[in-house]
Amino acid sequence: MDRDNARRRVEWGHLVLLALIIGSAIAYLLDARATSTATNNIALVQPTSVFVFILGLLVLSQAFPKTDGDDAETRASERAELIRVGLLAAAFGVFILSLETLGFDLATLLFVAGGLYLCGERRVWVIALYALLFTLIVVSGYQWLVPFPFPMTVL
Amino acid sequence: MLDFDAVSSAFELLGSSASAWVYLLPGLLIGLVFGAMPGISITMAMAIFLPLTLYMDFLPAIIFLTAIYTGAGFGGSVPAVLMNIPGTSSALATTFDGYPMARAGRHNEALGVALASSVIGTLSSYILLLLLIVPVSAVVLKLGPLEMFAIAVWGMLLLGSLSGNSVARGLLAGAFGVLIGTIGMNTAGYVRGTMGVPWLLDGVPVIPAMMGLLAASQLLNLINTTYLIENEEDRGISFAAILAGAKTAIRYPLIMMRGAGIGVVIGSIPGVGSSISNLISYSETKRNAPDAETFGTGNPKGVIAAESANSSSEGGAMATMFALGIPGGGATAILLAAFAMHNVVGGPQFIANSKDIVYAIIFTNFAQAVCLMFVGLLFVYAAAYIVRVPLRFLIPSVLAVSTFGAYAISNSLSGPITLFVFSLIGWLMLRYGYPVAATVVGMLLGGLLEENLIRTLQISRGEFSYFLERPGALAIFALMLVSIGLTILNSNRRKRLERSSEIGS
Amino acid sequence: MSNMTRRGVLKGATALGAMIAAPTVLRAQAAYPSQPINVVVPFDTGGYNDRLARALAPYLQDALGQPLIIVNRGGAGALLGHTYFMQQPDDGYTIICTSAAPFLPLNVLTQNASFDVSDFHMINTPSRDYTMMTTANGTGITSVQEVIDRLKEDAGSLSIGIQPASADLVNLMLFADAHGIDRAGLRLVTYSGGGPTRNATAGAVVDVGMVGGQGFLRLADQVTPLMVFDSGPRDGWEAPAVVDVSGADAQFVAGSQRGWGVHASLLASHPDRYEVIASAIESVSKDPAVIAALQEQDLATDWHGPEASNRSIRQTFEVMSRHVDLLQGS
Repeated sequence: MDRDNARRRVEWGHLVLLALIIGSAIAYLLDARATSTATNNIALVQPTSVFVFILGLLVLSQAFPKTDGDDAETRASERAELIRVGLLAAAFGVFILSLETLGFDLATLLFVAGGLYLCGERRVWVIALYALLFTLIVVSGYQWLVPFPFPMTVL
Repeated sequence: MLDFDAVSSAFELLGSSASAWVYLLPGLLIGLVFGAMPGISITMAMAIFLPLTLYMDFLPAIIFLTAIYTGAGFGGSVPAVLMNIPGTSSALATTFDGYPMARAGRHNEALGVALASSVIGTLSSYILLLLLIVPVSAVVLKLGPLEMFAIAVWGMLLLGSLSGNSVARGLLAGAFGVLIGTIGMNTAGYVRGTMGVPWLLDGVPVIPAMMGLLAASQLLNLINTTYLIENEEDRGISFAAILAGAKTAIRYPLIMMRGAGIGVVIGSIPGVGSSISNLISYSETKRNAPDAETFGTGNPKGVIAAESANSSSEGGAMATMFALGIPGGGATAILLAAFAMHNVVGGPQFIANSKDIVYAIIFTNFAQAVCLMFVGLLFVYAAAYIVRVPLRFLIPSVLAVSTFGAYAISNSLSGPITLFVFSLIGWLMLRYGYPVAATVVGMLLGGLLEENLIRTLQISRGEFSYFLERPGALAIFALMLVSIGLTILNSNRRKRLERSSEIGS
Repeated sequence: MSNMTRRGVLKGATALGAMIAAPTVLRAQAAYPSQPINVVVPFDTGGYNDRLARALAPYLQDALGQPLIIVNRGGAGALLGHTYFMQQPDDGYTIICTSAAPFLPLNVLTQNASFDVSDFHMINTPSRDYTMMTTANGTGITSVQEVIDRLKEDAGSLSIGIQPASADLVNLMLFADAHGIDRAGLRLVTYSGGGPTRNATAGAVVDVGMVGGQGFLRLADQVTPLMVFDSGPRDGWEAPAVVDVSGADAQFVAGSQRGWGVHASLLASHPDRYEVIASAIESVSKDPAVIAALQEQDLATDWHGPEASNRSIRQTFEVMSRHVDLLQGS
């Protein structure tokens, strides 16, 4: 760690990612060792998770890069972008969790419509028409291709 | 090598019913469409159409099913290039350079390169098959765990090429992938890391995880972009450019032959196959290329390496199936069932006694490869229109289609949930400069590494002398070291040359 | 459920233009079955049960007068598919095609399944596998006696390819006990799946393989069978049965028993419907045309009937539950 005067910024997302990687490596190793400490169980898992742990700690400092003096304006626009990504990701998550309760047809219709809106389409008739057509084609296409049924509500 | 009597009776067999060839085109098209849909595997396509062949004669049935096999083998490359979605694990390396090419407006060229490499890969693999079927089959079952471990390590060398600027981040991403790849019940029956989720017993579903890491993560990021290709004038769909791409591919016969060789040999090993061969071919090509540093940013050679290897694995898998009567994977298991329906059962006896049938099937595949070139041209031409679709339509659509594919693979929410979780992880990794591809490679190879390491330890009882009893494994390790050594030597020589030319100028 | 009625099983056929006459037997609406029947296959496409279900389906739907829809629910050693099946109503519109043994006992004994083996009622298990001790041609091993002698002297002298937590493993340990071989000293090389175990055996990667014998039929000219774990010779293998080697009272577990089943509760809730299904399966299994068609695909159609099928699975369960310690990781 260099102790010069340059200011350091915290990349919170980066920290989250590293915490996730390091944390899951530790948790995985503990879980594997709890199952059994036999060679047949941990021959690869133990050295690899220790490797990930050490490497993760070495990389940790990279989550605190020196500030290159970016101004408030770029950071604000970046924040706006992040919010859009977050909203889309949230919509995607809701879509996936609702697949079996709403049915693939209804969930897809809502997600595509919502996704179109989030991605910047504002003409309501375009959103409605596209979402409807897309749902019809994809649902019937996959139903035809896949050798087992999908849960549906309307179709 | 060739038995000409058998060759002529093979032609007789093929000519005996001209109507059988009617099934070639529908087979190829079905394969292309199924292969291009994320989550629809070749196995699934063939399983659906297997009952249909019950009512056909031998020749049409085999033409039809192998045409599906060939078509689906290439179909997976189309979403890999255009959307960064490897619909199957064998198209993974295609995304490394194919997708960057598409983003740079070279989508036509990339598709052309992929198509020509696939066609030539398939062709050359069947030529190799004609010559190699007997020796390959003699070796393939003798491969023990140490040899398989060596092959997995060879695949891991790719991590070096994927690391980008930060070796530490690349290794971390790769090792993280290896850990993910070992979750579930291992080869000795121990269950780890499932967090009590029953479906994790079989491990993290690989294809949904791959789609999440590589594709969905990208799509989330693209929300702030309007088109896949930024320059409007680059969004053209051009037959000429696709053909130019095909020509580009032909200009690198060496890469193609290496890909085909790796593809046939690795493809013939049951349970390994095309998902590993494309990685090894890519990594070998990159390490030996003078312009290695441009790999991963849209170098057509990367696409050639990947596609020639994954398509030629088909020939390798067929060799094992014929010579030993053993399916290398799901698709050949179906083919084997189809053969069995017509009293054609693979095995050494079969190769010896039914050369004409083997040759007939090989020639059928030649015809398919040639047809694929033309059908494929039309198919990729149509598919390329995706780049004209504004991203605000494409993003939700592709996310939805990927979800359908993920569900199709697992027939439960486990696929879509995996897709979602890994799209978030992938997005974070992309944002902070971690190579997601390294994680995918680690995930693909983690299980193979672990089971063969464990088996090596079991069989050798930890005694080192076992190594000396396995000349095959030592040969693979030696080959690997020589290859790495040559790379280092070459790059040093190149650097010296560059330096001296700089001084000279 | 109505969503599923819209899926004709033979959609692929129509798309191709290669039309296959669809079953057009019309029945009165009230009579069972009045809607398509789902067949749960708790494995992915391409495996034995999937192939069996898809091969028999065209004939069975002719006999039943309604289309059959194959629903693959693979994963976790059939636990996911079995659980899913149990969650479906016992109205005769969902039946199952599964490897009842060893997977039902394994689910119950080692995976905390939410059901019991007796919740399933097998109508017929045509495919009955058996553990076979096998070696590759040219390993120098020619008889099971040789294996016994060598293992008695040094239990680790031969490497044994085997699946962990399997009926094969139970059989190996019972065999070891019967001949005074040191269990702990055995050199086990573990494979996940029968196919890889057989490949390793046929390739002489391991000295001896312990795995289901029917899968070896296609590799017959590459391997030497040493012993079958059954009460008599099987499938024409020139190898003694375990009862000949370890004594008439030798203990062993039967191999995979695959076939058709329903909810056990169906017998009480809809005995009439159960009769319809059972007699359809029986008549189809005995139809010479069907037998010929399935034989071409290496699929079994032997009729053993519900009583024998369920008895055999119960017995397998009992033996496996006595050796539950062997089934939990090795």
